Amino acid sequence: MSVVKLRCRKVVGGHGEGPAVVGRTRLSFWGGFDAGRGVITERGSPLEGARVAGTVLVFISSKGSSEASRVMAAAKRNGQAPAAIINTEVDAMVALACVASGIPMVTDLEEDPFRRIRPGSRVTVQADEGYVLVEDG
Amino acid sequence: MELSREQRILLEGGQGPSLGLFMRWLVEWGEAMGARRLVPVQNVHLSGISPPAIGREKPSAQAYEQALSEAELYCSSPVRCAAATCANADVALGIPAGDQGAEAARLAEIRDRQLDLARKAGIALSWTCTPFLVGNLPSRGEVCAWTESSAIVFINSILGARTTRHGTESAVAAAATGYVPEFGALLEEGRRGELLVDVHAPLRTPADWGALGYFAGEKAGLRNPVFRGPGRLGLGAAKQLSSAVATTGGVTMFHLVGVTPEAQTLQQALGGQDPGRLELYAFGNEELKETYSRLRELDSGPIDYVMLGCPHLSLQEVIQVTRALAGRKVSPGVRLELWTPHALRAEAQRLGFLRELELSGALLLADSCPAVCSPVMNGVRVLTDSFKQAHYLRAAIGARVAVDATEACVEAAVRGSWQP
Repeated sequence: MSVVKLRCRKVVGGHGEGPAVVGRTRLSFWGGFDAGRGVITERGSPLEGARVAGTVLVFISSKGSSEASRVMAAAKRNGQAPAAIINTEVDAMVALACVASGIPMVTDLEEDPFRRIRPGSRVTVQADEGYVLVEDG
Repeated sequence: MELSREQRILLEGGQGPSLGLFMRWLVEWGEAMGARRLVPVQNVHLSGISPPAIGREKPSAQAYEQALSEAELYCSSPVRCAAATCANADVALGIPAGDQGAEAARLAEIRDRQLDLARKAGIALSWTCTPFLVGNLPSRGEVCAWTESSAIVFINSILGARTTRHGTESAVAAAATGYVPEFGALLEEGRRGELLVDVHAPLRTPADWGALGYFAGEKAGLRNPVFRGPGRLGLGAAKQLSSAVATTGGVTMFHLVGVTPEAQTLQQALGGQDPGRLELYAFGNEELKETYSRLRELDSGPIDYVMLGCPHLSLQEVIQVTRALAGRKVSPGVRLELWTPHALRAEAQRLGFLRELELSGALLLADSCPAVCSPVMNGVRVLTDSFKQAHYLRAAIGARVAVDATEACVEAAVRGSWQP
């Protein structure tokens, strides 16, 4: 097993870890995510059907609806929210969702997360310290 | 972030715990987005105060509690902003979905309680996605804090007002504190065009403008697209473009050269950047056709459901649809819904258009939309003139969808089948 440490930039502070769910795509949490089951539902999305509860969710950014923060808050209440979020572009909607629901969020990883993080890899996000650990094994 | 003495007192809870929480949301969100300060805001369109959606499934006792406790929190401090603050479409009581009995009564009770709380706080619960049609019309350069992705794009791009993409927590906090973090589209540099779309296809209907938005949103992502060439547009087209571009993308504003107040010329839209260095896309007849087919899941033939009014219809659009129906009956197998703000439904009633629509068998509904509140109807065949609604209805209710011009939707509703 190897562990790689990648520097990154904090967007919203905190610590979270879990298996990675990775999609080079944009997500709309309202209208594209079932907060009761924690499943991405947008038809045709590369992440359609993915379960995000307790994961480190890696995607480009949010898109679409401005209700992302409400939906994420509902997911959090239902125990279906991701443990941390890694985005390559920062949309105000995911940032707000993470602030309001206490989910750590980082961006600007020193390597392309879509190449570096394989789905299912164990990932630890230390937002305040500005790094991410990726375990491959 | 630099805070004034007054802002720091708010943040530290000196004016009560809910204002302290709201201030924390604004400060942490602002820091996440690179804001250096909070600036005063006088115009808020918020969301999050609504009864739980009926129809999709019976709301749980917990959902009722949640809706009420959120309303209590969001209305806990009188709003400080001067302009009307409105809440977004999110309630389903307009839907006559069979016998709701005690459920409907319970929801009505919650709605009344929420209206009461909001009125005391100074929030006008207009429950619409087009508040600019019914009393909240921002002016050029006005700092706003708006939710509703389509309305955000509309007021930035068509009116020249200034808002970033807001969600429930930030907009509620802005209304109560009178401040927003300054970043993105509030600043000159956040409003410059960032990619170019040359429009060669003739855009004949509002739905065609929606196709342009659906195409461009995906290319733009979070950036501001500049549209060159499509000419001028009416209100219906502006709503379709604004809503579609914020469906496939996370777009905050676009520039339509010659229309967007701060983009009378391409040079203005680009804020001095060299157009030759920007990403360039062409939207011709092929792209127009291909965009319709991307969302098309229906063949010609029978349909079940026609939805018009995403974003909510203007009174003129309600009248146009009534005229297109021309007294004809909607096919017995088809449900034809028109969605509009509550105030315009009342106006349509007074003017006699509601009666005409009802005689045709069409429904004129307010306060919500099917993507928010319709029951799941797997495989239901839906025709609409809105790319946004078609996009979301697929996952929301399991619909098979297609988009066509408004008049074609009306004809299909009358015939009971769609001939593209």
